[in-house]
Amino acid sequence: MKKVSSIFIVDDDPITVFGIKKMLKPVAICDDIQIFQNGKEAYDALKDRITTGHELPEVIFLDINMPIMDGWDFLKEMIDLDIQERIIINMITSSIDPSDYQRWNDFKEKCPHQLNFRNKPIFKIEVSDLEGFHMAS
Amino acid sequence: MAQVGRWEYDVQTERLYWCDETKKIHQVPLSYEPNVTEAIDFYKPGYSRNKISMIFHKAIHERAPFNERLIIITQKGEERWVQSAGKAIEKNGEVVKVFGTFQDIHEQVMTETKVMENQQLLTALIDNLPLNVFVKDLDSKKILVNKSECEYLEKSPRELIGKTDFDLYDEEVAKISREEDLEVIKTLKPILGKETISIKKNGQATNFLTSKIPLFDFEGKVSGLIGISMDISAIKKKEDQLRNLINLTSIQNKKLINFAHIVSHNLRSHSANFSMLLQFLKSEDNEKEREHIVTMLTQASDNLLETLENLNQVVDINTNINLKKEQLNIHDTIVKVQHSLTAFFDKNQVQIHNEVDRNLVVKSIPAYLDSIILNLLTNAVKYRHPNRNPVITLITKKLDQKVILSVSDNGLGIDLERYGDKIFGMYKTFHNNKDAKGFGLYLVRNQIEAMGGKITVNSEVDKGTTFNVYFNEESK
Repeated sequence: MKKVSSIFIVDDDPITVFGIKKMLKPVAICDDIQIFQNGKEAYDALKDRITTGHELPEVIFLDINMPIMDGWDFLKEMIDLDIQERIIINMITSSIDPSDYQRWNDFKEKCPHQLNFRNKPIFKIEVSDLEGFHMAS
Repeated sequence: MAQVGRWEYDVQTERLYWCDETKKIHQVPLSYEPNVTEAIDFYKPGYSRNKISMIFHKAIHERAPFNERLIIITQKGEERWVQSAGKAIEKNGEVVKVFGTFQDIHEQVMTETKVMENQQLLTALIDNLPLNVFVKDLDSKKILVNKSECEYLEKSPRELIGKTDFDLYDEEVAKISREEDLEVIKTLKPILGKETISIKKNGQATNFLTSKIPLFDFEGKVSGLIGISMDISAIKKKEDQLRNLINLTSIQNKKLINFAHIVSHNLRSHSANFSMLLQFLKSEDNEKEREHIVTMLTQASDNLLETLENLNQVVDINTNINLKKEQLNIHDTIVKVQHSLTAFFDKNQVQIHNEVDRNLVVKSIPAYLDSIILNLLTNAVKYRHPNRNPVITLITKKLDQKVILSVSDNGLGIDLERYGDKIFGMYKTFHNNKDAKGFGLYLVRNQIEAMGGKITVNSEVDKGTTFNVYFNEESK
């Protein structure tokens, strides 16, 4: 079990959200799991937390295809927020489109956060999905 | 030049004298003594012999001088062209002698014949070539045209000689042609096989494959140009048709790939959900949680079914390309759809202004026209502005051959710079709206495109949106 201060789930599919929540239960203790139906909602919440000095999420589960603001646009905007903390972002998608994988690879390079790519279906969330690779200090 | 021989005939004595050269021409020995009968018999039977008898007789009796090209058969049996001339000489009012010259002009005649034959061959060749041939001077005036060129321009050679392209073609075309001419004359480099378009004064356009080759005079100075053009309009037309077909095919192909992606993505997301939920169910002991998962599974199944129905609708549109179009009255169709949605419109306090010309008909597939109008009307209400009641205005315009139906609302509007063409994509939604499934506009676009038309959108956030549906009237 890992203690996580805050988790964002950004997905417009209630079944996936249900699944992620369920799979988190045995691996994480978290009192602050937030659900967002699209990138815009999550982005607004993130910005709000920065201005109010609220704790930022340690982990984000991010869908790609969403209305209003999709996963890629959310990533772009989020990078522009210039957040100092390294956030673990798990992109979860049913897409097997190679172009999505390519985009993930491109984003990984310029993203200061840890960007993971997971194809659906997912049956289990590992503790390692909630932990960053710590730099040797 | 062959040497000129002489001869002399004494009327009194009837003696005929030939000089050595004349004898040489006849290929007789120098000792040969001619007489008139024998001399005339040297001429080829037929025209030549008859002619010489007649003119010789006339020279003596009517004092008519002669100078003729005739054929003799020499002593050795060779046929040769000769120039035979004679003139009577009088003394005291009486003809006493006939004096004449005799010249072998065989080589000269042969050369001339050859030249004439060549010329005739060339003329026949140029005239019968299935190409337009013309020769222009340095001022781009036509100095030679062949039959094809005359037929193309519907003028006689006489009418065309001396004319420039400005007299025959559209101003723009003539300008381009004149520039080409000047280029060829200046650089002396031929233009070969250039695709050109000629537009005659009457507006008739023809595609040509044109070559322009500089023409030099005997001193090697450029004196004009030779033009050869081949009418490739038919090939060009075929090419255009082929290109259109390729475009259409590649669009179709793109659509298919896109559709395959949509299918695989959507089916995958459902199947992933099934797998995940079933995995949960397998390891879940808590009865209440199991029930919850089963509810979720039912929902996933419903979602899948709906997706399949949607996909099926799209496949239907793209495969039933033979559905019959009918003449449909747009105004009446709107009224009909409006009727079927009365409850929905009343609930949302919608105002509809149907300003479509009551008599306007378009060729369309009935089910598609219903669907297009239904989707655009319900969309306008779904994406209404929270601060005002929906007002929808429907108008039609005519542009060229096409009828355009515009459906405008005063709703939320959409940031097109941001979403652009995605608005017509499948399962793309842009507003936080529970009813939004991202399918209606995708369907509408497929339906209108299947009928050979298109749909465009204008929108301003917070002001409203206008959809323009272009019906293609030309296609059947």
